[in-house]
Amino acid sequence: MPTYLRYALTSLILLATPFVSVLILIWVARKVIARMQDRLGPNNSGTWAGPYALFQTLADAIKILTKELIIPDGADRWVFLAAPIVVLGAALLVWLVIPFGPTLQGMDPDIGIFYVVVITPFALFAMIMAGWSSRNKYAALGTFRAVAQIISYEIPQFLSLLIPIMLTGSLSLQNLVLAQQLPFVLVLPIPALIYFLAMTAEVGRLPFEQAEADAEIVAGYFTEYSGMMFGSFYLAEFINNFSVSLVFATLFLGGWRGPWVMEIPALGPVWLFLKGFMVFLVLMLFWGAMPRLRIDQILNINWKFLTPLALVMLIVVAWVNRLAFDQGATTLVARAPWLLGANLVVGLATVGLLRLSSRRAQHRRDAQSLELLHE
Amino acid sequence: MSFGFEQIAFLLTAVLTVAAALAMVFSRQVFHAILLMIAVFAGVATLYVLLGVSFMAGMQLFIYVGGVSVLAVIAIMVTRGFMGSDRPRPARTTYGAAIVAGSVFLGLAWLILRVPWPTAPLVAASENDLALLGQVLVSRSGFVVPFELSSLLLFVVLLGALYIARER
Repeated sequence: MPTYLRYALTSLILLATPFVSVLILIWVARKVIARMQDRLGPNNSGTWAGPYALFQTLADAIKILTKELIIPDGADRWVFLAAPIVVLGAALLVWLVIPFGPTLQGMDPDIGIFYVVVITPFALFAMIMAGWSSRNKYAALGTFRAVAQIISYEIPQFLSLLIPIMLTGSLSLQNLVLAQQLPFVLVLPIPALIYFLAMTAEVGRLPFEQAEADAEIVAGYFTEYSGMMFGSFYLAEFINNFSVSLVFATLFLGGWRGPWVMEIPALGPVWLFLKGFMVFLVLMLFWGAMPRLRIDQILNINWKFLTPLALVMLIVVAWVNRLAFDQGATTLVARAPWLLGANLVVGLATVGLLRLSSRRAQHRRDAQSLELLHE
Repeated sequence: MSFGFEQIAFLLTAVLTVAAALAMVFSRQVFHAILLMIAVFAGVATLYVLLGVSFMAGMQLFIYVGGVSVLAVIAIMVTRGFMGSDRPRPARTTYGAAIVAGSVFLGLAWLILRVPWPTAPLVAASENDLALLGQVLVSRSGFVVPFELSSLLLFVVLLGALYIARER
C-alpha cells in the first residue's frame, strides 16, 4: 500500500472511531444517569428509536444538524465561529497517540504522554474563545471558572503523571504500557486516585462541574451556541470524557494488556476499550451521584490537598523505588510491595493529618460558638 | 533542492506563521492579538516537528501556549474587563516599535547571511536524544549545577510573588 494512502486511511479511522464510540457512549450515559434517578431514560415508546432507543443519539444528531445557527448581535463573529472547531480539534488530536494495541497506534512520538498534556491548553483556549466572543455574562462567568479550575488542576495531574513516567523511564505511551507487568493502579493507588480526580476536574465533570454549572449559569461558556455549534461542544465534551478515560486506562490500568493479547493482537483494542469504558462509567456514576462543589472548595482541594500530596508521593516514590532497586528488586513485580508500602504509609499519614486538621477546625468552631454564648 | 513533502510542509507552515505574526502585530484588539500569538506559537512548534525535535515542539506549546498565553488572558480578565471591552490598544508607540523591530530584523538577517554555516551536522544525532538530554541535565559532569540553580531561582521568584501578592 502506498504510504499516502495508508496515512489517509489511518487518519480516517482515527477520526471515525471517537465519533462512533461517542454516539454509543452518550446513550450509555443517558441510560446510566436515568437509572440512577429512577427514570427510564431514552426508550422507544411512542417514536421508533430502535431497541432500547439505541438510535436516539443518531436522531438527536440529525435533528441538531437542521437547527438554525444563531450568532448573537455584538458577538465577535470569527472567534465565535472558530471556538467550536478548536474544541473539537483539540478533543480529536489526543486520539493520535493512544496505543490501541502492540502495533496499533496512530503515532508513537518520543514525547508521548507529554503531547497529551500539551494538547489540554487548546481545549481551554476554545473555552476562553467561546466565553469571550459571546458577550454574555454567563459565558464570561463560566470561562472565569473554567480557567481557574483547569489551570490549577493541571498541576496535580502532571505531578501524578510523573510517577508512572519515572517507573517506566520513558514518555512514550507504548513504553508506558509495556512497562506495566502489573497495572500501575495496583502499585501506585494514591497517584492513580490523584490523577483520576485531576482528570475529572480537567473535563469538568461533577463534582467539578463549575464551568457549565447548568443550575447557576445556564450552560457556562457555551451558553450562546445553538444548533451544531452547540453540538460540537457537546460532542467534544463526550469525546474528551472518553479519551481521558482511555488515557487513564493506558497509564494506570495496563492499556491494551490483557489475557491472550500476545496470541491475538486484535484483542488489544478490545481490552483497552473495555478498561476505558469502565473508567468512563465511573465518571458517569459521579455525574449521577455527586453534588457540585463550590469554586472556592474546588480550588482549596487542589492547592491544599491534591498538589502537596502529589508532590509528597513523587518524592517518596522516587526514594523508595531507588531503595528497592538497590536492594535487588529490579522488576516492577519485585518492587510492588515496596511501592505499595510507601503508598500505605503516605495514605495513613494523610488520613491522620486530615483528621487532626478537621478536629482543630471543630475546636475553633466550638470556641467561637462558646464566645458567642458568653456575649 | 528536491521539492518533496517536507519542503511543501515547511513553506506552508512558514507562510501561515508569518501571516499570523503580521496579523497579530496589526490587530487592534488585544484578545485577537493573543489568539493570533497562539497561532504563531503553534506554527513555530510545527517547524520544530518538521526539524525532528518533537520535545522542543512540546516544550514550545507547553510553556508559551499553556503558560504565557494563559497568563496574558488572565491579565485581560482581571484588568480590562472580559466582556465587551472594545477599547482598541493605543497606537502612540507604533512607529517607535516598528523602527526597533525593523532594525532587529535587519541586524539578524545581516548576521545570518554573514555567518559561514556548517553544512554537515557538528554532532551526530543520537538515537534517544530525550534520555540523553535528561542524563546531561542531572549528571555531575553535565549541567546539574545550572539546572538546580535555575530551579532555586524559580523558587525565589515564587516566594517573591507570594510576598508581593499577600494581603496585609
